[in-house]
Amino acid sequence: MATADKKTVLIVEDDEFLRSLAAKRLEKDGLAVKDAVNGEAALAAIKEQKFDLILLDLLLPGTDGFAVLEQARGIENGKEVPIVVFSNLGEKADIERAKKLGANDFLVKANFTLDDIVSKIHAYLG
Amino acid sequence: MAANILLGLTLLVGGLLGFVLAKRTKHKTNSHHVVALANLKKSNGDLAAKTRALEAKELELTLANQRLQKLEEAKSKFVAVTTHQLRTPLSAIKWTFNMLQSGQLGALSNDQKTFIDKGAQSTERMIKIVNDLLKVDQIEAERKDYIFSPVQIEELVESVVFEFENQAESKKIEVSVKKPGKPLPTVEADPFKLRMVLENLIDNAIKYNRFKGRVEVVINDDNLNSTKNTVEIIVADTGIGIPAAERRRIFDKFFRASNAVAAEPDGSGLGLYLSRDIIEKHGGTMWFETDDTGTRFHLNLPLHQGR
Repeated sequence: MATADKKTVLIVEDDEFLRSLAAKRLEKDGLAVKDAVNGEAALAAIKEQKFDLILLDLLLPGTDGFAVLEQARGIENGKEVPIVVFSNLGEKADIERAKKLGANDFLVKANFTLDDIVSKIHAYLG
Repeated sequence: MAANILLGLTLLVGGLLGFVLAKRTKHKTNSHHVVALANLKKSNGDLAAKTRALEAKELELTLANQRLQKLEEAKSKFVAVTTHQLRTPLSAIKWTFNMLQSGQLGALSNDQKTFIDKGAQSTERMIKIVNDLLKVDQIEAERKDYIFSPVQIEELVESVVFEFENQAESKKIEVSVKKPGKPLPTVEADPFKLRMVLENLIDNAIKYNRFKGRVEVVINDDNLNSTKNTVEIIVADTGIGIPAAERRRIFDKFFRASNAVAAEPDGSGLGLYLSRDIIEKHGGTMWFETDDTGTRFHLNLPLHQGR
């Protein structure tokens, strides 16, 4: 696969170490990765570029993940993109709220390995 | 004459005596009234004091109750916040081990691999405990939020059993469902919580079973049209049983039977505690029989919720 054809994933995660781990793992798997450290940066990135998938944390400083979900679906580039929430929230109410706002999937970070997350991503990318 | 004098004297004495007696009695009656009145006043005073004391006690209890509720809320919040905060560093550790294990960061020596596997296992154990704590907290917080709806027990049981197919297969355990010939009426239950109970029991029945053992889930309608009007679900295994000395404590929060710990180091000892709590919130009962050939958990659920 040519570099230009690489699928691009946006990782929205405020924890630096988790972000770098996830980015490294996805890149090893042949994916291109962009990252955003907060909700504002995520929305700016979505306005600018069409991603193949977004990995979205919920607890973010400032604009949180729920708000990103809500607003992303109103941006042209964000209408169709699969958004996989990965968060350490995970109560029924959080899951329901995220899905209502347009999340395609909800993974509790501590319950999934990066291998699991990567195979989930590939399932969406086809 | 002498008789007259005698009579006169007698009358006189009698009169005097009567007078004195009458006076004494009268005096006695008076003092009785005074004492009684004083007593009454005193007990009235006592009563008022007692009432005041009771009112003070009541206020004290109301305040104590409010404090307890606040404490309960604070505890709940504390658990939720800490567990969420624990999950982030735990994710970091888990992902790091995973990167190392899957060779993403280069090949590992056998020694390195062994230690990393152990580290990963310990992390999993801790994640499970954190998750269970959150679950308990959530269930305790949601005690009032049971959402009852008509549940088809056969359907629920079969779908839970289906969920465990792979897990059973890996231990070569045969899981079967035995149900009555005719369909059961629906049971008024919270399907989400009832599912948790069945998942917990079937998970245990597989986990603590022998290699090539059996798990049978029996749906029993024997008590359906009796005064009890209950449906019974029995989860029977051919596993290691619960040691006699520990049977009494098996439903205690955080308690795990010694042979269960030996067979499966991971586990929080909360499954049975939560399961019985859920069944009791349905107005049902949960009990078990056990020996060294296996354990049978019985769930009795009333058809309707008496509310």
